[in-house]
Parts: sequence; C-alpha cells; structure tokens
Amino acid sequence: MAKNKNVPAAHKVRRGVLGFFMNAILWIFSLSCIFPIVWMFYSSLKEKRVFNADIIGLPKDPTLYNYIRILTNPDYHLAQSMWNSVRTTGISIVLIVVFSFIVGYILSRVRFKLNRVLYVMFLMGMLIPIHSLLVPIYVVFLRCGISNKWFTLILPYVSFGLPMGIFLVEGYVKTIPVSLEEAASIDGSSFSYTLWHIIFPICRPILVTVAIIQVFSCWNEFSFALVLIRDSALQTVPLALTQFKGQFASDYPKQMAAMLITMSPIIVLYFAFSKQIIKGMVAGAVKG
Amino acid sequence: MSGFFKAIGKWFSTFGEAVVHGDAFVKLSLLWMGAGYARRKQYIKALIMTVLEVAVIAFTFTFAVQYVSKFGTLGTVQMEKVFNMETMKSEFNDYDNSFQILLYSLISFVVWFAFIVIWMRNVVNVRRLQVEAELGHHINTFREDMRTYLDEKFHITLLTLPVLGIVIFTAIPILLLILVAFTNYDQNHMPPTSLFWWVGFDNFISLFGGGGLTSTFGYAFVRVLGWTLVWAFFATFTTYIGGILLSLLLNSSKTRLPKLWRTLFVVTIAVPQFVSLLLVRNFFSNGGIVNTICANIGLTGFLRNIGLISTSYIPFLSAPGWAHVMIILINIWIGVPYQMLIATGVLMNLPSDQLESARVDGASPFQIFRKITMPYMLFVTGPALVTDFVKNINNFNVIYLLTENVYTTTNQAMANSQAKEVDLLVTWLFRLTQDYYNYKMASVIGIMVFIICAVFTLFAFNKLISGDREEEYQ
Repeated sequence: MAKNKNVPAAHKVRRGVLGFFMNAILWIFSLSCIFPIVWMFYSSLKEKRVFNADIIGLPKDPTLYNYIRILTNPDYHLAQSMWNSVRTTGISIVLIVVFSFIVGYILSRVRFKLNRVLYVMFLMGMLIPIHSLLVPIYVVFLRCGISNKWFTLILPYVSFGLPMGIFLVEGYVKTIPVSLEEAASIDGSSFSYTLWHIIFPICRPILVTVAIIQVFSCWNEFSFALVLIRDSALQTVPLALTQFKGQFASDYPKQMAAMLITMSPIIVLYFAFSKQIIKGMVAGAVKG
Repeated sequence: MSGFFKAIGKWFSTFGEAVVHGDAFVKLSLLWMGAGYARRKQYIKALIMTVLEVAVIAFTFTFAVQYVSKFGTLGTVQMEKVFNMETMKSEFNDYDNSFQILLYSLISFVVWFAFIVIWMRNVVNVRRLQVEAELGHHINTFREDMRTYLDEKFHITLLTLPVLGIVIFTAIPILLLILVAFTNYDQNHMPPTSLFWWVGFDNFISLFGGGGLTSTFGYAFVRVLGWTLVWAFFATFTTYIGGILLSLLLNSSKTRLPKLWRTLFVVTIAVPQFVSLLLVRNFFSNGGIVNTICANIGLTGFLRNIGLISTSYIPFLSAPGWAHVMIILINIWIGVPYQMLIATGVLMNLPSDQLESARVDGASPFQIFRKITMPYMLFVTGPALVTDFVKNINNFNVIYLLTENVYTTTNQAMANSQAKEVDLLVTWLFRLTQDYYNYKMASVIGIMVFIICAVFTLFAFNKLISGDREEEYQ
C-alpha cells in the first residue's frame, strides 16, 4: 500500500521539477532574446561617459541628448535615409504583392502554351544567388544610366522578390476550388472582376505573408544598396547605419539611439499587424 | 520539367506545320513579316510587323554588327595614347572595350532571340488566319484583336510587364555572369585600360584544383563549400528543432502566460538582422562586453590555463572553431523565435484524436513527440525545410555581419584566394568582386552556387510535391 501511495507523489515531484525547468529555460531564452532591445533602449538614454563607466547598469539621470544630436545634426542624414528606406520598401512591396498575385494566379489557373516555360523561368529566378549578380547588375545599371537614382533599388528588389511571391501565391491558389470561379463566370463576372473581387480577398493571408517577408528583406537589404547607391543622400537605413559605426567607434549610446530610431517603423508595423503576421507566416511555411 | 520541354517541342512542330502547309503569303511572311496580314486585309498589323522587321534590321546593322563581329575575340586593340599630328595632342586610340563588346553582343543576342520568336509566331498566326479565311470564318479587325487582349487574352496583357522585368533584371545579368565565367576578367584585365579574352574552362579548372597562379583556389573552394553545407545543415536543423521544442514548451499547460511569451518573441523577430547582429558582434568582439565579463569572473584565465586559448581574450568570432560554433549558436538565437511561430501555427492543426488515443495508450511525452508530432511537422513543413536549407546556403547577412572586419584568416592558402574559414560561397564571391575585382572566379563560384541550390531544390520538389501529400501522410 505504501508503495502505491509513493508513486504518484514521486511523479508529482518529478512533474513539478520538470515544469520548473521548462519555465526556467523559457525565461532564460526569452530574456536573452529580448534583453538586447531593452538594453539598447536604456543605454541610448545614457551619455557616452556614463555608459563607458557602467555598461550594464540603468541610467541614473536619463537624457535624450543622443536622440537630439542625431536628429538635429544634418550630417547624419538619418531622416533622409529613413525616408529613402520607407519609399523604396513601400513601392517595392506594392509592386511585388500586385505582380505576384496576378502572375501567381495566372500561372496556377490559366492554361496557355508558355505557362510551364514561365514557371521554370521563375523557379530559376528563385535559385539564383543574388550576390553573384551584383556586379553584372551594377554594370547594366551603369550603362543604362539608372544607377544612383531614387528608384534604382526598387528595380532589383521587385525582380528578386517576385519569384518567391509568385510561388507562394501559385501554391495557394491551387488550394482554392475552381468551382468558385466557374460559378462566378456563369454569373457573368469578368476576368478582372473575378480576379480582384473574388480571388484577391481569398488570397489575402498569403499576400500578407509575401508582404511581410519582403518588407523585412527590403528594409534590411544591404548589398544592392551598397553597390548601386553612391550618393549619401540616397542611402537606405542599413547603409546609413554602417557609416554611423565608423563615425563613433566607441560612442555606443549614439549608435544605439540611431538603431532604435531606424528600427521604430518596423516595430510599429509589427505591433499593428502582429496577429495577421503570425497567421501569414504560418500560411507561407505550410504552402511554401 | 517535362512540361517545359514538351511546350518547346510543340512550339517548333506548329511552326514547321505552318511553313509546310501555308499558302504563298504565309511563305512570303518568312521574308516580309507583314505579307500574310496584308493578304487578309489586316493592314495595321502588317504595318506594325513591317516596322518591327525594319527596326530590327536597322538595329543589326547600325549597332549589333560592330560588337558581335568582335565577340569571338572580345576586342584586339588595347587602349593606348597616340600623338595626333593634326591636333598636336596626344589622344586615345580607337580602342576596344572588352566588357562593352560582351554586354552589347549579349543584348544583341537577346534582341535577335526575341525577334526570332516573334518571327516564328508570326508565321503561325498568319497560317491560322489563312485556315480561318478558307473556312469562311470572320477575320478580326485590328480593333477586335486589341479587345481580346482586354478580355479572353487578358492574362497575356497582365503578364507582359512582370515577365519583361524579370528577363531584363535577372536573365541578362545571369547570362552575363555565365559568359564572364569563361573569360579572364579580373584585376589585371580591367576594361577600358586593358582587354580580357575567352579562356574556355580555365576558371573552372582552377576552382577544382588545377594549376596556375590561383592554385590555392581549389583548396579554398573545398573548405568554403564544406563549411557552407555544414552551416546550412546546422542552421536549418537547429532552428527548426529549437522552434518546435519552444512552441511545445509554450503550448504545454505547465507554462504560465504563454501569450506574453509569444508577443515578446514576435518583438524580437521585428528587430532587423543588421541591428541584432551588429550588436551581438560588438558583444562578442575581442574587447567586447562578454570578454570583459569572462575576464572578470575568471573564465578567460581558466580557459588559458587548460590551454584552450592562447590569447588574453576569448576569440569568440575571430578564430576558426570558436567562430564556427558561435555563428551557429548566434543563429539559433536569431532563428528560433521565427521557427517557433511557424511551428505553433502548424501544431495547432495537429490531429488531436491521434494525440488523445496515444495518451490513453500510455505513450510517454517523448514517444508522442517522436511518433506523432515530428512526423506531422515534417510532413507539413517538409518543402519549407528545403527552401530554408537553400536560403541558408545563401545566408549572406548572418555571416557577413558577424565576421566582416572581425575575422582575419591566418591560413595562408585561404588568404591567397581571398577566402576565410568562416566564409560561405556567397560571402566569398561578394568579397572577390567588391574588394579584389576578381570577376572571373566570382562568376564561376556564382554558377556553382546556383547548381548546388538547383540540385537541392529540384530533388526536394520532385520528392515532396509529386503525388498527393495528404494521402501519403495518412
């Protein structure tokens, strides 16, 4: 009898210990993930001297000095580079979403002779390591006189973002029953009406996925920006930040303030759409 | 893939059929592209085709010929300063620019290719018109034809722009890349001051260990390729498994506040990679915070005493071995939250009746994980896993941001080929082009990366996507 009683008790203890460890692992891992942002935030409120004296501690008298210096000194052109990034990313995303929706839908549903040829072509486009194309693209852009312009980066971002978007949409449209469009066309719906008013709303989750993935890759894109943009007034955020690093080799607080400022649009975007983003990412992983 | 070749085969057979069975005007269309349309009173189309034909011929003789004629040699006249007796100044001679010849020849080839496609298509169209006229069908006017492009052929109109964009911004650079791989375009052969020329497969031979000045390339290539594959494997699987474990942890009833945790992880995903990676790089640099802490708590001294390090700091990101492990660990930290979100979404759809019956049968949590959760995850996210693997082969950001300006190789053979032990193929070729202007080798490496990625993708797509996956799982 005593033995029987002991087993559940031991079990309970084991489960309790297990639960404790699970929570502990979660805590440690999550904190390590989150700590850099928090640390950056409060460190950016310190002055350089204070920071160098105590790297980890909380600021005793928080100051906005770094932010003011960064935003008021035109040499840092942070506002300009943020605007460049917003413009480039925004236009690229709209074009990528619209085009990958149209092309993905057509490749999935419309039967025409070149369908499979185009499909393979886009598949190839997805496999090309873009870094090996940097130089040819640079030369082609230079010869065509379209390097170092405000729209320069949009062109490669769209053409390299498209193949993946097309694939996600193509796979997603395949899961929509054809009978839907047949019914629509019987009711007299035209091709473009069906496309925009019937298919588009259904495809929204996958289009959100495409948009999210592309927002991040465009906003963070570094190599094309480095190669194709010479003018510092046209720099995007990642480029502008590297120049910061050189200027303040040891002025971490200012660097962190700059990073936080440039991160803010993405963070805001994330919080605004966090539910859709999670749903979209799952849709992308499952269909991709 | 077979559909692709079938389509091409069909294309040629329709063309052949049109030429053989077409009437005189169809055959005349082979020479004068407007002929067939003019015969069917489609004068506007006839005009457009004639203008196109004239334009391409003009392009050929005013532009293409001067470059394509030198395509075989890529130019023979080196840039030189010559003294001009008339102006009494020294001037540049009429030199050849190898790169210009290569690029403009390529553009000419693309234009001609497109023209030939249109030309063949034209004959097929004219033949169809002939058949319809013979059958007494109505022949569309130009306006009616245009209207079909907004209606039944609307998809063609919609496809034109994106396809053109892809062709111009990816196909031409890719072809250029392939061509450059067969030349000796590098620092010593930089147009316009000097010429470069075709060298056949020499660059491929030196990449695979052939002799010459770049004899170390073969060695570096094997090392870099090995690390690229090791990295891609570990980066993919550690984050994948980590993501699943983390999501199971979050979902388990023992975890408090799962919503809070999930939100916090979403925030960490929102931090751009260049921010978090630069930060981590500073943390782990030789004089960074982590090293300061390790020195203070005596870990550095301990490691030196047992002989693991010989420096006064821990070379987290600056010595081989250390850097490799750290890069993979840091990548776990970056990649797991993202994979966790995906795994959470997928696991929500896990068939709960199976879990239930397994639990009733007394299966342990580990058994459930191994027999039910993992197979389901692998089944649903299998293709995504392969794309992740390919993405990691090309994961430029993590490697570049973590090691650039931090890691210097001490291996002479690697340094000779401008490679580092921590380089992926893509970061290596990036450095070759950006810092050393070694375009020929960068192109060869680019082609190799493409082949590797293509093999993995095609293999996976054939394996995973063929057949009905839903049934396979059942």
